Amino acid sequence: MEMLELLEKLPQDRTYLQKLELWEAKETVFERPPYRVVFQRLAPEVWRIRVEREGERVSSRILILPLAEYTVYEIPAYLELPVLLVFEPQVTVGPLQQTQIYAHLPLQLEIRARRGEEEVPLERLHPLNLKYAWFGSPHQGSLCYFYETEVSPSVEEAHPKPFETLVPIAVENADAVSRELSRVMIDSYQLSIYFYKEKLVAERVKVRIDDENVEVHYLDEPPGEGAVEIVKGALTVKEKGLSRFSVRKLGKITAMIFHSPGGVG
Amino acid sequence: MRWEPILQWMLRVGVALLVLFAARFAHRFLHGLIYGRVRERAGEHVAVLSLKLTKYGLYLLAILFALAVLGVNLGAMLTALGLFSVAVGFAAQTSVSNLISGIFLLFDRPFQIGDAVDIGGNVGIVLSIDLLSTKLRTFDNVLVRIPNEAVLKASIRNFTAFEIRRVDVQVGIAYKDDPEKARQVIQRVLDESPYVLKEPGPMILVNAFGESSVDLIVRFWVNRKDFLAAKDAITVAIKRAFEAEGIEIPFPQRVVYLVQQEGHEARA
Repeated sequence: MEMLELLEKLPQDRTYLQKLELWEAKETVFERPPYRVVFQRLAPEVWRIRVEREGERVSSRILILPLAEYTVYEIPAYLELPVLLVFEPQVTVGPLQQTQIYAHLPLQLEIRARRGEEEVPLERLHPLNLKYAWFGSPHQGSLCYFYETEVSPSVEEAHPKPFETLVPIAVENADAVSRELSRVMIDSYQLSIYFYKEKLVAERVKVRIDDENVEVHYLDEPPGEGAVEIVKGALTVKEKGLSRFSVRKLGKITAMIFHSPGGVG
Repeated sequence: MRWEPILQWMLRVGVALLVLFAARFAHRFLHGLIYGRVRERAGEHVAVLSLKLTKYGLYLLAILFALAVLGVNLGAMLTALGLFSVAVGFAAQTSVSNLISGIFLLFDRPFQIGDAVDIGGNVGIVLSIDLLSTKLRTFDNVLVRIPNEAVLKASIRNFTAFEIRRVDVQVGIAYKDDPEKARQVIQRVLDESPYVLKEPGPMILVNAFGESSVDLIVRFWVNRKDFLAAKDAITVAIKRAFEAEGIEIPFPQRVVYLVQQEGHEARA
């Protein structure tokens, strides 16, 4: 289904993917709390786009484009860094068991203008108060976003906030003892995002735990029947057949390594 | 008049020139080939150095070949060149030492072009790593040329080697104030800051009993590029939070007693 057809068919009370109506008024305001995006018509083909957050201007730009001829819409966009999801509460999986959870993953929102095949990105709204974290050893690891998320057993029971998508995670414990999963690193750009049961839900992810490692597999499967793909994840990675999974060592190594055990420095 | 020797000589000159042109062409061809591949595998400075070595090697070979074509006795010339290079070697010990140090640096790779480093007290961005010297641009925009021998001997701090850095901020509170309360206030400031990494988490330690304050040390990790901005923002935020919570940041005070002449009382 074409993106715009999809947008038109989606219910109006959803949080995401609203088609913006730009009319002949001098100002069209688009509310996406805590952001407020103001489209100001200076001339038929000249617009000022101003983004405000809590009353303060975040950005302002002049756009020379006959916006009335375009359809302006918003779409989820990935964050620039991977996300370290920290489960609250943590997930306990019995020996050789598998469980399905739905976690919340932060996203950006991109506002775009579209006319036929032509697409013009206008603005990106970043989720607020995202904290950074370092995942790995001091000299080898990656900078990521730190995100505490509640987990739900089903899509219906999950209530993602604006700037969030759900991620279906199948947690498999391949070990003969019970394991607790408190966090998982998600390379969010790998994920396709679907519209499913009136919510944004990412493609299926499988996390396999054994006695040493946590493996994260991106399965490239929709979350369920009837899911409509909105954003395609990491096309290049898929096309080149590169890694669709990542393996990381168990444990909070950062806490152990970063603070000097000898009490020096 | 016999044209044959002249033609032969002209032919030789032509071939020699052709060899030199071929070297130039080969250098241009190899430039793109070597630079991209070496840069991808070994970094910018190794790529630049490889280019220079290739260029000089190629031209040296071409010149020798051209001379051979022109009929120059290369054996004698190389002997002379050997003797000459011994003499030059004695005269240019420092340069040779720098050259060898440059090659060691190439393999050791303590930094790369574009890194922010401190080499023996010279702090700046690495502009180039040449065979004889390393050039830095200091943060007040001064060019510093450091001989490679000195670079190899100096202790080097590379500020851009890792993606995250720890910031230490020292703050003192009055003896009358509760260090635990101060710790909680600082923790709140750190929790609210977008710069501070959640992991590795921050540490707030009571460090010492100072002359006029109980000294706390606040350690937190930030993205390398945010180092200065984070230090500035957190220091200001701690001061404001302390003011709001009524925690005093004392400063050293000196009480001066003025002693009057005999018969007059002293006053402070």
